[in-house]
This record gives sequence, C-alpha cells and structure tokens, in this order.
Amino acid sequence: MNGVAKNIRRGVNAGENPLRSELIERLPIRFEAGSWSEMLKRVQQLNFRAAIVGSKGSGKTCLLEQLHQRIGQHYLNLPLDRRLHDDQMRAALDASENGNVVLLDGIERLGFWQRQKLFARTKSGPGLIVTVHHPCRLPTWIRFRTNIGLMKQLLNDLDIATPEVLEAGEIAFRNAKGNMREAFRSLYDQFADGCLSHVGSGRSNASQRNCKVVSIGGGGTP
Amino acid sequence: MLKITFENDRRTYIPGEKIVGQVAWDALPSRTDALELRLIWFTRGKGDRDVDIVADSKIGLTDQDLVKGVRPFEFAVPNRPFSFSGALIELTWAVEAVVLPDRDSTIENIAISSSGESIVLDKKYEDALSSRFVFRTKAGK
Repeated sequence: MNGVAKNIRRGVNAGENPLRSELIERLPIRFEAGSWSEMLKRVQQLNFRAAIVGSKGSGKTCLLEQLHQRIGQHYLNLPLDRRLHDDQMRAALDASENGNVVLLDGIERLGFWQRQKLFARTKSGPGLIVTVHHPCRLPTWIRFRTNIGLMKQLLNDLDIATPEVLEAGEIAFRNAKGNMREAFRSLYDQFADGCLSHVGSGRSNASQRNCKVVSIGGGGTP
Repeated sequence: MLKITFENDRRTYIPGEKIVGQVAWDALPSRTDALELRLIWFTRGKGDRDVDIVADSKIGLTDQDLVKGVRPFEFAVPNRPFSFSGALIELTWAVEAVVLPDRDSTIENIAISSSGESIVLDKKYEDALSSRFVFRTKAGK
C-alpha cells in the first residue's frame, strides 16, 4: 500500500455511522422487569423522589432524558457539569418551589453539604429524581446492570447485528469492563475507520483492512 | 403532507446569498394553528449533538388553508458555521417545516460554505484533533 492510499478513509462519515450518538440516545430502555407505564407507576408511588442507580455507561442518563420527554414540559432537566454551581443550585430549588420535579444527572458529583441541602430543600416539593452510581438516601427506582446479552440486544435494536459486529461488540464490552457508552464509542471508531461494516459481507473487514483488534478476558477475535 | 422545494432545485449556498423556496402542504390536521419554517444547523457523530435555529418564520393558517396551500420562503445565508463532514463529526444545514402544535415536520438538507459545498475533513486532521480533545458526554464524564 502506498502513502497516498493510506490517507484515504474507507469507513463511514459521522452522519452515516450506525453508532452515532443520536441513535444511541434513541435506543429503547430495556427494563429488567416491567414496561414504561409500570415504571412510571412505580416512581409515582415513590412520590417522584427516587434514584436511578447504575455503573458508568449503563444507560442512566438516557433513561433520565427519556423520562424528561415522557413526563412533559412541566419538569426540569438539570444536567450537571462536574459540579453544581450556585446559580444551578438556585435554579433547581426555584424549579422545585415552582412545582417542578427536578431531574438531576450525576448527583455524586455534588459535595456532601450541597447534596444535603438539595435533599432537604426539595423534600416538600413535587419530586427529585437523580442518577447515581451507588444507592443513596433516596429510594432506588431502577437499578441498571449491563451484560453482554444486553449489548447484543442493543446492537440488534440498531439493526447492525451481523456476526462480525456482535463479535466486535462483545470484545468492546469486555475491554470497557461493562461500560456500554465506552463500548459503543469503540465500535463507532471501528465503523469510522472502516474496520467494521454493517453490511454483512460474511468476511472480516478487520482482517482485510489490517485493523487492530484488542481483546482481553478471552472470547475475542484472534 | 408537507414538502419543501428550493428555487432551481438548488441545495448549495455561499454566505450572503438568499435561500429561496416554497413549502407546500395538503390535508393538515384540523387542530393546526400555524406552520413554522426554520433555518437550522445540527451536528451528528460521536459526541454530544448540537443544534441551532438560526432563523424562523411563522405562517398563520385559517381553516380553509388546511386543505391545501403553498407559501414562498426566503432566508439570508449566514456567514457561519460552514457545512462539513468527517468521521467524528458532521455539521449539516437544513430548512425545516414544522406543523404547530403537533410538531410533525419535514426537513431538507442544504450545504453552506465559501465554496458552496460541504467541506470534507481530512482524516489526519480529525485524528490530530481527537487526540487533543476528549469527547464530552451529557453526564460530563
């Protein structure tokens, strides 16, 4: 292969990549038990004071966003960026006082006292739903667990479940230690680089295109 | 049914020009109040999505209008951002027609740049950028 040929990208562009973020965010939430309406009933029973618990990249943020879309415009979604600034805290408390359920992503990034203040000041409000890595003082509404079966189901939902993609998905999942977001990004890169294709060719693109496949924990591509 | 068409079927523009076209519809739902035409751009790719409505105009509709109608539209082409496409991110301009309040919509993509064509990012340039920046997610992780 000459130097010119090496610079030609053979993968897909961002707008055609089947793992682009807009498609991942639209994936249906797969609850361990029950449907959306049953889950909404459950959170209603908890008076909208509840936690979505799960490890990094397990789908908590996607669920919170889909919840925001389902429970309507009277609710406030307040994503956090590293820490809750004073004006964001004020906005959250104001929203609660004005009759909104506050949805907060990543509450563990709050300091201890900020968290206590938020719990206390929203107690008499319509609700507080948070995402968190480990159970907290709010009752757990949903607990997310990831596994290879779920990864394969989601690849199927994305309509790219060829044997080659499923195998790459399994390797990406293992390498990311169960972090689905990281696994999807790894697959995104493989599509972008042309190492994977969702048009089932029956042949491994990785071997054709000299792509590097890294496997840990067994079960991977040689 | 909603349909957007452009004058001379043109899809590529340079800043300072005008995007001229028309929106046609028939059999809109009886509860329709208006149609909104928007000039928007959005990104797609590996990281967070971004979107901006750069210009919009509302078409008020009477009951008689709902059966069938055509209206012209015109938007000034903004100076930036340019349309571009790469492996990690793509920025697309579009004209969107939205039925209010139902929010049914139709969208037609266009390209805006100094050459009038979407800029194709070089893979080496994108790789260099991605090695310097970490992709941000909504959770900020």
